[in-house]
Amino acid sequence: MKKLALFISALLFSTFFYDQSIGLNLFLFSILTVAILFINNQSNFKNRKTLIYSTVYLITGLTIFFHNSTLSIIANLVAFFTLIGHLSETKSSIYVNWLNGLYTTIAGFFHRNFANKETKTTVEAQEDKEPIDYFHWAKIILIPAVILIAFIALYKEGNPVFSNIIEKIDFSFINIRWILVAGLGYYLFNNIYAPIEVEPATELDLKTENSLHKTDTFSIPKLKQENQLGVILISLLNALIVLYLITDVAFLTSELDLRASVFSAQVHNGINALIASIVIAIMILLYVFRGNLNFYEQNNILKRLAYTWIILNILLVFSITFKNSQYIYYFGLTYKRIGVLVYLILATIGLVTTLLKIGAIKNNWYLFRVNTQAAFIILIVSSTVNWDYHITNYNFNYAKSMDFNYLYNLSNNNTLLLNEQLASKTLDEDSIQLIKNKYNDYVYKLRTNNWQELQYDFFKLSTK
Amino acid sequence: MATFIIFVSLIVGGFTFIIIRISISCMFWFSKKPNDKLYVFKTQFPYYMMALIGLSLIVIIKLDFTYSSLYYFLSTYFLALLIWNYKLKHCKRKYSTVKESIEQSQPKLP
Repeated sequence: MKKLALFISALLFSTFFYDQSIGLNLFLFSILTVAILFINNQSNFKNRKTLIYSTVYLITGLTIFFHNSTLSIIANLVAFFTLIGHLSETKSSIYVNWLNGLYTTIAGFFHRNFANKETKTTVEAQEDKEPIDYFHWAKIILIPAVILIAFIALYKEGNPVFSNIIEKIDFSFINIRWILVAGLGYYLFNNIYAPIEVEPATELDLKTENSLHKTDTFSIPKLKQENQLGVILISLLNALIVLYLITDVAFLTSELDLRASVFSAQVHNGINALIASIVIAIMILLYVFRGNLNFYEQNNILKRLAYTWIILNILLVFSITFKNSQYIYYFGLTYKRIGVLVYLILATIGLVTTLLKIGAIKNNWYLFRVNTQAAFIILIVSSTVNWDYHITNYNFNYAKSMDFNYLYNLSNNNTLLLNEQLASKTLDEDSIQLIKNKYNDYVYKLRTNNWQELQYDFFKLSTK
Repeated sequence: MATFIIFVSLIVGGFTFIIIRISISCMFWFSKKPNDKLYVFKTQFPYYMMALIGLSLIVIIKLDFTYSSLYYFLSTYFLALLIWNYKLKHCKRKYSTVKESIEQSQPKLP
């Protein structure tokens, strides 16, 4: 049963991917992968988290059908590794899932083959291994095949409709390369059907707790000194950030007339420095609260100062968000500006989880686990958005100015929208011609795509 | 032309074989327990294969997924697996460890 499923999957793999570009095929491959994993790991699929990861993987596959972007392909790949890694060890952290998923995909078959042979004694192995009856298999395949072909030949003579259907069946697409791709597909499914783990990394991850414990080096005089240093350092940093925020607000409210040009310079020069300052802030807090200082009874002031500093850093994030939003309003959306917003979301999550870490006395692994999980969620959510479409839509309809060349050079996901804009917007002749060329090329591509490369835009085109 | 292609393939193949063979031997040489094959397999093999695939993918992407790069790195991948298979299952060579060499040079220590 298992071998048959793998064999059929291999044939489907080659049918989906041989000589095809990405489209519906990756979604179908996602369904096939989930089916193969379900057949071989049914008990794991009772776990809620496994169901969530499977659904996420299928959703990322579907997003590729709706808008074929590099981000959605990356998200699909990451979700694939996450699901497989999760099946190898359901209790491990997400980054270990990625490691296990990657390793399973690369060398699952080899690992099982070697590890099983090493652990089993030769006697056990001989007991387990049943001899393969090749003659029986030949009979099962050859006799029905010969009889089937004979009956098809007979029925063809008796019914012209049936004869037409049989003659339309075309296997000309099968060639050496197609068979090689099918072989690769078989190898891939053979690797992933029973996920394996990178043992040292997974064991270490399972052993590592989220909580911090008091160590033997707990010494009150030393901690008192450390506490004093922390209080002075974080107090000064608090004072500095308050001063910065006040001047920032004053700047934002006073320079109204020069906003467009000043924001451009501000955003380019300032945001990188502010982003670095937030990362350094988190690192300083992690250093101060790395060990026994968490258990020092008189650390209340230090903790309050740390909370204040985190909240002030969050205010700094809002300030950067405001500047970036203004910049987007004046100059339009771009991937870099969206990237800054995504980074700011991640920084906020980092600051909040640092606050939780200090409050609940957790270790740095907790922070790493929670933040990688957050980054995974953000990747999946952002992959479901058709960014090219939204960038084009915003820049055409809401932004104060726009860079046409930037929009034109985006992927085909904005082509239909660009064509729609021709009717409502006034553009110069060159731009109109460029849009028309891009539209015609895209329509030709959509209409000549095979069913494996199918995209949602094809149906949008058909309904027009 | 055919002779030239065969000649180039042999040189490239031979060079690749030597590089992979040496790199896998390094995994044993630098392991804490080079004679414990299961230990080397569990601690070194996963990372070696992941690094190999990572490097191969970078080059394949840089070369824009050309067929020649795909074939070359696919062959390299299977070659690496074959060499690992040989080293883990069939190779009977014993590696001398630092501990052993110290003991051999000073055998009569109290």
